Amino acid sequence: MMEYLPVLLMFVLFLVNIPIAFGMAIAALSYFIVADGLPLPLFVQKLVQSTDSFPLLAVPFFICAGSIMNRAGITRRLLNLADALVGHMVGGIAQANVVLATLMGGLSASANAEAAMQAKMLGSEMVRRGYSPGFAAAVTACAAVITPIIPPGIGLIIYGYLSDVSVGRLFIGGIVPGLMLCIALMVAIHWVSKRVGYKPLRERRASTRELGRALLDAMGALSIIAFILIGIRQGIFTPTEAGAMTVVYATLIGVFWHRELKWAAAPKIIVETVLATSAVMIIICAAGAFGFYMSWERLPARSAELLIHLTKEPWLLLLLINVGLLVLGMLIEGTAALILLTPILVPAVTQLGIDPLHFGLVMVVNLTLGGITPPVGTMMFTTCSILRVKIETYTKAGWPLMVAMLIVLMLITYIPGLVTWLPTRLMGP
Amino acid sequence: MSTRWCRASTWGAYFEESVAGVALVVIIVATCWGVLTRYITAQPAAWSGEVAAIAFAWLVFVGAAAGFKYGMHVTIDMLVTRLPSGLRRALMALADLLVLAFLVTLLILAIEFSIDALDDPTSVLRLPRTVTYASVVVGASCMLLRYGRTAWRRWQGLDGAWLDASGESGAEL
Repeated sequence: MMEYLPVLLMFVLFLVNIPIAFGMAIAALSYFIVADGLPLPLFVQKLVQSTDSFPLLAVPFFICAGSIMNRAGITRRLLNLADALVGHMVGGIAQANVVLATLMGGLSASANAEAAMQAKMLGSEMVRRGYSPGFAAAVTACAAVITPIIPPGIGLIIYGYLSDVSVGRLFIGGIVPGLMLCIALMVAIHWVSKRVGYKPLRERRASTRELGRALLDAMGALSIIAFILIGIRQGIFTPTEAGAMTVVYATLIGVFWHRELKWAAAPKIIVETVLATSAVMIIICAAGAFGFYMSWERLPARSAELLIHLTKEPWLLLLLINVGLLVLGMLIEGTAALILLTPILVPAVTQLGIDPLHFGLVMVVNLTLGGITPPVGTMMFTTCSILRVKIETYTKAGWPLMVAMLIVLMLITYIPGLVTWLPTRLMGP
Repeated sequence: MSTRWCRASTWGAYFEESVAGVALVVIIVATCWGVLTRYITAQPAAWSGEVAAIAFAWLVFVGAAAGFKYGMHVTIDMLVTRLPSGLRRALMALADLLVLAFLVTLLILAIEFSIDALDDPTSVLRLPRTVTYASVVVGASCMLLRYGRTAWRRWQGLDGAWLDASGESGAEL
């Protein structure tokens, strides 16, 4: 039993409000101190080790690119395009909200930043046009779930690093599930809007001419999506290099094409990137030290045995994991849960013949959904605090949307082809 | 106060952001340079990956210290928010002491390890690996200062500072 003490300690530390990264690091250090034959300075090496990872460098790059694009007039142009595409449907502005999140998904990597941005830009506009604030907050939070699933996405980068799955394949694998989430949300919004009577944004469908103009105007933004996907698909650069090049490319478009990006914004962009990156990376670093303890005690292998002992049916294991992750995702922050659980769950599912690429998307979609479900969810908190909505109001207005997204989660869980078909098609088996 | 003193204290207040920000720029430039040289020159710059990795360590460990100022570190406050205030204060003080003790230990270990790494060169540039591990020394020192300040305010019961370390992640600057 002694070997489980650090795990126990870690959870106790979490409960007394110690930051996740420090809870993990302290628990890991306690093991280094107590265990025989482990030199203490090794702890420092294990702590720093993750920063030596080339794939993880993509994290600051895509966060930085997202921050640049929010200030480069890219979001507004994509919103015009979304309006021209779906503004004529019932619940038009809510539909545009979802389409914008999907388009932005091809650019931005962080769901929470996306939720904050859209709540400010579209959420308050929805309320002004007579939508209930609870529904506005729910639409915005749910739409933000799509962003990290459509490549690039921080969650996919982290999962790829921890499970040794190619980040490029995970990126491509996210396209179909991301589009499915988009369609499911649009259907649910249509259903709610019909019942409540939310009006379209524009009286009739946008003319080809209007659509063409919006498309042309959004070309700069759309070219970034093409740049990332074609670059990775053709093997011109790795996802990490694509991130660095996107930072440069988005800057060039913002400064020379849209002429909206000012150099004065640089310090804010840099500080924003630094803070968001280090908040995630310090947890991954702590997990590096903690992971050393776990593999030293063979805990991932043991828990895999335990899980397989529970059931040998892949479908049942996936169901159990999904339910477990949904509950966990309601309680703790998704990224932290992803970092904690990937090394433990992946050995078990691969032993039962589940493709880790497929499992990665199930896991990331599931834990991102945890961010919109009460009682604890970062995207829910973000949109509710910006729009001043109570959690109960949010839940009451948003449940049809959440159900729609859960259905998509079940579909991608039980039809692996939805995830694996596109990467296999484009990048070979 | 003289302007010079003002400038020095502003610089001190934004020390972590400046260091981590420079590291970010270095990472971006080095990685882009790596891609460019691979396609333009016959000899890709082998140093770019190594420089990016070193700068990444500085970004993360010094940036994490800055994170305490903005409440960027994720915590779980479900339990403590439900406790009576006296018990909460005692529990939080204990937790803070533990984190501070950890940071002191980390600082000592990192200094030891950095000295050991002086004669352990990196594979491409042959720099002592201390250039990477020193980031933990600087980061842990800064975190000690920032966290110590938060913990002290929390103990004195100032402006709900016990929540300081647990703002929404990704909150606005």
